[in-house]
Amino acid sequence: MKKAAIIITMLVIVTVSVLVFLPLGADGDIASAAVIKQGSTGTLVTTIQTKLKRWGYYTGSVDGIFGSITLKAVKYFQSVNGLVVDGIVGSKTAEAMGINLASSTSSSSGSTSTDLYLLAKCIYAEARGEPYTGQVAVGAVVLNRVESSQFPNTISGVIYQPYAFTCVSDGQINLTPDATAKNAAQDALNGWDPTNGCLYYYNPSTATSSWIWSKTIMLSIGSHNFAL
Amino acid sequence: MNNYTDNNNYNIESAISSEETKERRAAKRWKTALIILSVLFVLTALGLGLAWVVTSRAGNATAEEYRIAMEGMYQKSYYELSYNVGNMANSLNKLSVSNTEYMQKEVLSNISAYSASAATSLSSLAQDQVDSSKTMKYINQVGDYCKFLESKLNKDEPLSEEDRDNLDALSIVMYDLRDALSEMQTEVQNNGYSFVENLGADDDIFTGMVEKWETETISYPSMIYDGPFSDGLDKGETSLLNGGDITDEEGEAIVRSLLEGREIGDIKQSEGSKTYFECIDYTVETDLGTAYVTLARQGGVPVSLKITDYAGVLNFDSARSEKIAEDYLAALGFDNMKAVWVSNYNNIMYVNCAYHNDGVIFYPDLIKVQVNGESGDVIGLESLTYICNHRDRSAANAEIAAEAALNNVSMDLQVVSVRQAVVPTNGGSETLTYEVYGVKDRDKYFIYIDADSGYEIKIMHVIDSEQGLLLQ
Repeated sequence: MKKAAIIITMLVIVTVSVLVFLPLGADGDIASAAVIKQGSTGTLVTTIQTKLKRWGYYTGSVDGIFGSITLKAVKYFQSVNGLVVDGIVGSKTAEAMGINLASSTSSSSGSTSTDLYLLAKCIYAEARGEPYTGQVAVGAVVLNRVESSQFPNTISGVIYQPYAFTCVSDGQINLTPDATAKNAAQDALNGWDPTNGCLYYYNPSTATSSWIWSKTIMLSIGSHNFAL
Repeated sequence: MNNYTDNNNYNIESAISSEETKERRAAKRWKTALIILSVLFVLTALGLGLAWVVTSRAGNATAEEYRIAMEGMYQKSYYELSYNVGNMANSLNKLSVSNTEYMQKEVLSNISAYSASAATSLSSLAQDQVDSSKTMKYINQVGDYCKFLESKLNKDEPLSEEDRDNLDALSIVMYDLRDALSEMQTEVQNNGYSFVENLGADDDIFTGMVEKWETETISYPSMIYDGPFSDGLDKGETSLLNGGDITDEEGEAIVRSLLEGREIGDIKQSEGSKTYFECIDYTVETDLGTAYVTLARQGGVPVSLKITDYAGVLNFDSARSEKIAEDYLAALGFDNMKAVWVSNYNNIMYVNCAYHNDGVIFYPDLIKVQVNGESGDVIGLESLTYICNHRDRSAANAEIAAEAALNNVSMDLQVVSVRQAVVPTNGGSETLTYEVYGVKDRDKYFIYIDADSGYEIKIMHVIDSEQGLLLQ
C-alpha cells in the first residue's frame, strides 16, 4: 500500500512538472497576438456572444462588449471543450467555436476597397473607443503621411512601417473593424481631416518613443495629441 | 543454569534486534532509493519541459528560424538602401556632364526609380528610438524632382542653369549618405553586426548613424518645382480668408445655418486649432446625433461638418443627391457650385461640387457634401481645398480650340462630351484643359487635354465597383 502510494505520488509529480510547460504554447498566444478578451469590443465579440448564447453557455445580452458575463461564458465553453481555461479567445478557442480571428477581406474590386479596408483596420485597432472625429483624425494622419515626402508613399507602406503604429507591433491590426471604423476610413479617404494636415499622433500617457515629444502639438482629440 | 538462560536471552535479544536492524536498514535503503528516483524523475521532467520550451514551435517554424528570417530581411533592406543611394549619387554626378536630352531623360528616369526603391528600403529599417523622416524626405524629393525635370525635357524644355546647380548640390548630399552607409559595411560584413540583436539597444551603431543624418546641417537646396513633394506648397495664404476674426455670436449663427433643418441643442465651442489657418471647433447635439463643426476664425468660412449617421435603403439617388448638395451650398452663400461627381458608400452619397463660371469648371475649388441617401439629410461638408484655392475666377483664353484638342484624343474613344476645366497639377498649381468624356468597349474615361499645348495631361478611368462609381 505504502509503495503504491509512493509510486502514485511520483507519477503525479512528473505529470505536474510536464504540464507546467504545456500551456505556454496552448492557445498560440506567443505567435499571434490577435485575441479577444475581456475589454474587447466589436463585431467579433458579437459573433462570439451569439454562438455562445445559441449553445447555452452565455446568458447575457449580445451587445458586442466582452464583459464579466461573457468572460464566464468563455471559460465555461473552454472547460467543457478541453481547452485552456483562461477566458481569452485565442486561435485554439476560436477554432473550436468555428470563428476566424484573422480578418477576412470583404469583396474587393481594385485597390480602392483594399486601401479602405486596411485603413479601417488601422483606425479600429488604434482608436476604437475614441470620439468619431478622433477616428477620422487617425485615418487622416495615415493619408497625410502618404502625401508627405517624409514617409512611405502608399497606405500599406505607411501603416506597416516598423514602429510607426503600435497596433501593428502587437497584432491588433488583424482585428475585424466595425462599421464606425469603416465610415471613418471612408470619410478620411474623401478628404475629411480634423487635424488639418498633422503627421503624428500619440497618447501622452503611453508614448514610449523619446523623439515624439519634440513634435509641435497642433490639437488633441480624446486621448490623442496630434502633431506636425 | 542462569548463565545459559542469560546467554539465551542475550542471543534472542540480539537475534531479534539484528532482524529489526536488517528490516530497518532495508526500509532505509528503499526510502533512499525512492527519494533518489523521484528527484531524478522530477529533474528529467523539468529537463524535458525546458528542452520543449527552447525548441518550442510557434506556428510552423521555430523561434530561431523566425529570428534568422527577420535578420535576412533587415540585411536585405540595408544592402538595397546602400545600393540605391550609391546609384543615385553616381547618376546625379553623370548628369553634370551630359549634353544630350536623350541621355538626360534616361538618367533622370533611373534616378526616380532608385529613389523609390531606396525610400522603401529605408522605411523597412525604421527604428523605434530615432525618427528618420528628414532622410526619407531627401530621398523622396530627389526622385520627385528628377521626375519633374524629365517631364520638362519631354515638353522640349531644356534643363536650366538653376536646375543644373540644384542637381550638383543634390549629388553632394547623396554622396554623403552613401559614405555614411558604407562605413557601416565593415560592421555588417566583417564584424557580424546583427540588426535583430541590436533592436532597441542603447548604443546601436545603425541608430547612431541615422541620428547623425537627421541632426546634421546638410546644405540642401530648397526645392520648389511642380511636384507633389515640392517645398513650394504652402496652404497658409488664402485670399478667401480675409477680414477680422468672427465673434462668438457670429460663429454660432454660422453653425446654425450649417445645421439648417436639424433640431439642435447647445452649441459647445472647444479649443481652436491651427495647422493651415486658425480654426474654431464646435460640438452640437442634433436630432441625428453629435455634429462636429469647424469654422475658419477669419471670416467664419465653414471648413467641415460631420454628423455620424447611417443610411438604410436608397431613396435619394445620385441625381437627387446632387440637387440637394447644390441647393445646400447655395443657401450657405457658396455661389455657382455645380456637382461634378457622386460616390455611394453604404447609401451615404458623397457629392463633389466644384465652382463653375463662364462655362468652365474649376476643380481646385472643390467642396464635398455628404447626403444621407435614405433620408436626404445633409450630414457632412468638407471645404479645405476650396478655401485654399478659391478666388475671383473667370475664363481664360485657351490657345487651341476644342476641335484641335479632340484631334489628340485616341481614335478608339467614342467621345460623349467636351467642356473646359481647370485642373490642379501635381505641384499645387493649375492648368486649363479640355475635359473629354468618352467611352471605349463599355469602359468610361475622362481625358484631360492641356488647352495650350494639346498634350494629354491626365486620364481618369471610371470603375463600377461595390462602392458605386469610382475614378481611378
